[in-house]
Amino acid sequence: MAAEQIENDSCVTLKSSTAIVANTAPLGFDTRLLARLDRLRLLSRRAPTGGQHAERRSRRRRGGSSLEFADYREYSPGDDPRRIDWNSYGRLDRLFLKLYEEEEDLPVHLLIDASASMRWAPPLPSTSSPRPTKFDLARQLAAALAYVGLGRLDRVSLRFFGASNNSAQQSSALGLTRGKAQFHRALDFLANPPLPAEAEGHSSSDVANGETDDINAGLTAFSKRTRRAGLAIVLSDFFAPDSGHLEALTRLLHRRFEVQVLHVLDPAEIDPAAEAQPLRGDLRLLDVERPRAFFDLTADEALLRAYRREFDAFLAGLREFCARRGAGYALLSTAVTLEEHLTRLLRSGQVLGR
Amino acid sequence: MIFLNPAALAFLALAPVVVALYLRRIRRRAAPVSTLLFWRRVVAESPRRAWLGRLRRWLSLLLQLLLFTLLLLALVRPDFPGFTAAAGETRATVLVLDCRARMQTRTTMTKNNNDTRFAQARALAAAYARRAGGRNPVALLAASGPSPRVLASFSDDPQPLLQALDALRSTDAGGTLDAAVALADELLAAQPGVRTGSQREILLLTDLPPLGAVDWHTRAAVRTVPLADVANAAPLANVALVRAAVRALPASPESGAVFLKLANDGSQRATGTVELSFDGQVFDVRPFDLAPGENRAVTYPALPARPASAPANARGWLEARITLPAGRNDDALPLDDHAYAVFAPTRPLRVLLVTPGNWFLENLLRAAGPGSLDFEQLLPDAFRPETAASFDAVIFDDFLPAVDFDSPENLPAAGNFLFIRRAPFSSQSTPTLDRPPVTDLDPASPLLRLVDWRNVGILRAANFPDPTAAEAETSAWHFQVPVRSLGHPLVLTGERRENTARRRQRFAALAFGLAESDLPLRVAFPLFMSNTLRWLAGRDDDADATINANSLRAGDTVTLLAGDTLWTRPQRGSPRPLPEPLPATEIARGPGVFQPMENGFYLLRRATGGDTWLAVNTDDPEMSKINAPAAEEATRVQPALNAPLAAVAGRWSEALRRWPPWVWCAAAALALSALEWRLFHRRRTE
Repeated sequence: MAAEQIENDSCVTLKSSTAIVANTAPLGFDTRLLARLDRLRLLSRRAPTGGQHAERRSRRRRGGSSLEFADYREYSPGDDPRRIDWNSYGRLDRLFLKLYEEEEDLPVHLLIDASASMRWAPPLPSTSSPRPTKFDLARQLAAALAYVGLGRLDRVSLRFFGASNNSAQQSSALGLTRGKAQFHRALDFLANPPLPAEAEGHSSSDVANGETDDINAGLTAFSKRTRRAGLAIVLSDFFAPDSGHLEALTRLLHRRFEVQVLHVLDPAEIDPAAEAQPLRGDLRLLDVERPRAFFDLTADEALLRAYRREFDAFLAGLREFCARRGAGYALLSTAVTLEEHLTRLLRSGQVLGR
Repeated sequence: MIFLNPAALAFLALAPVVVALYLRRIRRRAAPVSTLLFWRRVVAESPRRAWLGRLRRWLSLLLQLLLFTLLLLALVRPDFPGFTAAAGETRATVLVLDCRARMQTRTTMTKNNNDTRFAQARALAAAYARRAGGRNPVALLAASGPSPRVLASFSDDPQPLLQALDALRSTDAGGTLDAAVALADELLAAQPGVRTGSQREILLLTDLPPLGAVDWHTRAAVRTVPLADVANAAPLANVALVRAAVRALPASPESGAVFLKLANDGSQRATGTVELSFDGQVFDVRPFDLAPGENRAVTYPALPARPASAPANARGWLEARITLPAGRNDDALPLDDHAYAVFAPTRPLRVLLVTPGNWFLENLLRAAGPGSLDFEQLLPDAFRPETAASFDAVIFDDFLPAVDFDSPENLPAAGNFLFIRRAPFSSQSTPTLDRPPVTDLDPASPLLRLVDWRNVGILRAANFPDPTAAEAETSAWHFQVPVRSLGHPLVLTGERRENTARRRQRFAALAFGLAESDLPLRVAFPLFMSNTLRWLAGRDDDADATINANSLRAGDTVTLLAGDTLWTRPQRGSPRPLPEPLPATEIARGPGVFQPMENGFYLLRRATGGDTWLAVNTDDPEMSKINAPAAEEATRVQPALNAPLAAVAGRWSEALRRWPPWVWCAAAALALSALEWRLFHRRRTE
C-alpha cells in the first residue's frame, strides 16, 4: 500500500513537471532548468517568525518539529511530557526538555517593475542576435525565484508595479501561495502582465519638471499593505527622478523587509556608445514612458562620456545605498542569459543557495 | 575696393540655396530611450554645453554663410589699390598696360577677336581707372616695344583715362616691361604730394609676371596684376615663326636663302606646313613636325632668282606663313604665324665707258650681260660731265676731261669714276715706273675680293703720288692704296667724306693701261672689274647688312629726313598678286621719326629718290611663349618687391602683399572649411 502511494506520488510529480514545462516554455524554462532549480533555495539572513510549518528554520525553538536538535531547558509544568529527555533524567535526576529547531515558511515577495522603461529595447541590427527586454528578464527571474520558493514551501507572492492598472491592485498582484502546485498560477500571472502606465500630456517641459514616481508609489503601497514582512525581491531598472527609488527602498526596510535589489539593465543604457547603432549626432530623444516627451541634443564623444559618468554615479549610488542599509544588490544585464544569471546569483550567495 | 571679376557676383544667387540646404540638413533623428533622466542631467550640469546647444544652430549657419562669402570674394577677385596707405594719404598710381604682341593671345578659341588677354587687361585697367580721385591720381602707360607711351598723365578724373583706354589697341611689338616701369617710376617721382614709397604704386597689367630675376630699382611699389586664369589655365597651343631672314647667296647674289625659326609652345605635338611666297606667289611649301617646347631653325635655299626682267612693281616681299591641318583652329596667337622679309630685286649697274677704244674693256662689259650690267660707250670728245650723274660708274680709259678733273677736290659732286692710266692727281712731269712689281696688297680692300694680283706683270705705270702719306683729316677725301709697288700706288681709291646718310661719292684709279700689262689675260681681271664697279656703285656692302637694313622689329624707330615719306599700310596676312596695284597710303612724312607697331611691309620713299621696302616683324621669341612657366620656375621668377618698399612697408606687409587678396580669401575659406568640419565632427555645429 505504501509502495503504491509512493508510486502514485511519483506519477503526480512527473505529471506536474510535464505540465509545468509545457506552460513555462514561453518564459524559457525547460526540464533541465527546473531540475537545477529544484536543488536551490532562497537565502534569507533573518529567520521567519509566526509562519506556518515549513522547511525554513525559525527563531522559535520550543516546539520545533524538525529533527535537528537545538538545546535543552528545564521542564516546567505544562510542558509536553513527550519531549522530556529521560536519559538526562537518569543521569542527573532532573527533568529536562529537548528542544528542536522550528522550521517555518518564509514570505517571499517578488516585486516586478512593469513600467514602460522596462519594456524598452534598443534598436539592434538584423545581424545581431536578439536579446530579451528588461521586463522579460525580470519575469524570467521572478518565475525562477518563485519556483525555488514554492518548492521550499515558502509563501511566495508576485506583484507588478508601475503598471497602468495600479488602482486595481488585485489584477497586478498574486497573493501568498505555497507549494509547487501554485507555480502554474504564478506562471499565468507573469505571462499576462498589465499594460505599462502611460503619462498623458507630458512634454519636454514636463519632463524637465519631474516624472511620475511609479517606483516610489508602487513600493510604498506594497509596504503599507503587507502585514507580514519577509524577503522582498525588487526587480526593476530603478529609473526614478529625485531618488524616489531610494525612498521606496528605505520605506521597505523600515517595515522590516529583507530587501534584495535585482537591478535589471540593458547594455545600451549602460554605454550607449558601445552599441552597434550608437546614439550619435543630432537626436530627438523620445521617452517611452511619455510618448509626447522629447529632448533634443547632439550626442558627441564628450556628451557620451558625460552620460557614462552620470550613469556610473547612479549605479554606484544605488549599490552604496544597499550596502549601507543591509540590502542585497545584484546588477543584471539583458545581454546575459537566465541560466548565467542564476549561476552568478548562486555563486555570489545573495539570493540563491543550496 | 574694386572687383576684378565682377561677373562672379552672379554666384550670389546661390546664397538662398546654401540656407535652404542648411535648413534641410538639420533634421534630427528620432531615438526612443528608456528614460531621459541622465541625458537631462548631463546637459543641465554643463551650462556651457547648454549655451552652445542654443548657439550652435546659428553658429553653424553663420560659418557656412561666411564660408560662402569668402569663396565669393575669391571668385570676384577684390583688390585694394590703396590698402597700405594711411587714411587720408595721397596715393599716386601708374597703370602700366601691357600692349605687347603676346597680349593678342586669344583666351577662347572662337573667332571673336575681343576675347584676348589684351581685352582682359584693358578691362582691368578701366576698373582701376574708375578709382581715380582727388587722393588717388592715376596715370596710364602703354608698354610696347622699347618706347613706352604715356597715354594719360596723372588725373583724378577717370574720364580721360577711360577715353585713352578705349582708343588703345594692342601692338605687334615685343621687348620687356623694363622701360615702361622706369618711365612710370619717373612719372611718380615727378608727381607732387607723394614722397614715400608707400604713396607710389606701379600696377603692371600683364598676362604673366615677368620671367627672370627682375631688378627694378624703383622708388615705388611695383605690383603685378596677372590676368585671371592665365597662370593656372591649361596650356594653349601656339606654333610660331619667331625668326625670319633672307640673304643673298654669295656665289649667286641674284638668289637667296630663307632662314626661319619655328617654335612650339604648346603641350601637344604640332604638325603643319610652312608656306613661302615671294611677291604674293607661293614658291615652296614645307611640312614641319614639332615636339612640345621644341625650337627648330630651318633654312630654305630655294628662293627663286631675282629675274632680270622683274616687273616694275616688284617689291621683293617674302612672306612665310604657318598653315595648320584642316580642322585645327586652336592656335591661340595667330600673330606669330606670319613672318615677313624683303629680298629686294637689284637694278643692273649702269656704266659709262669713255674710251678711244679698248677691246678688253668693251668685251668684258658686254659679256656681263644686260641683267647685271647696262653700259654705254662714248668717245672722249662726246663726254659731258653732267652725264656722269646718271650712271653708277664712269670709266675713263686713258682719258681725262680737261675741265674739273685736274684734282680730286675739283671733281664733279655727282658721279663715281674709274680712271685708267690717267688720273686727276697724276703729273706728266714725273717719270713713269718701268716694270713695277706688285709688292703690297691690301686684302681688306673690297676691290681685291677673290682677286690674285701676285703674278700680274706690268710694263709701265704712271707714278701716282701717294695721297695717304700727306692725307689730312681736313681733306674732303679718304684715300686708300690697295695695290702698291715699292711705295708707289698702282691702284688708288678715294671716298668723299660727307656727314650725311646719302651714299658717298667714290673713285678708283689704275696707274697703268690695260694694254701695258697682262692683267686682262688673267682670271683676276673680270673679278677685279666687277669688284671695282660694284664698289663704285655702292653695292659692295655686306649682303646681310643690306638685308638687315630692310628688316625692322615692331616698335623700332625709322628716321625720316626732310621730304622722306613712309607709304602703304602693312599687308598683314594677305599676299597680293603682283598685277594688283599697291594700296598706297602715306602714313608718315619727314623730317621726323616713325615707329611701325604692326607687322608687315612698309615702303620708305626717300626724297633723294629710291624706294626701299621694309619688313616689320615682332622678332621676339618671348612673345610667343604664351603659357605660364612650370611651377618651380614660376616660384623662382616671382618678381621681388623693391628694396624701398620693403624698407617702408616692413616684412609683414611684404608677406601680405606677396599674393593678391583673392588668394588670401581662398586660403581663409579653406581654413574656415577645415574649422567647420572639425566643429561639425565635434558636434559643435549642426
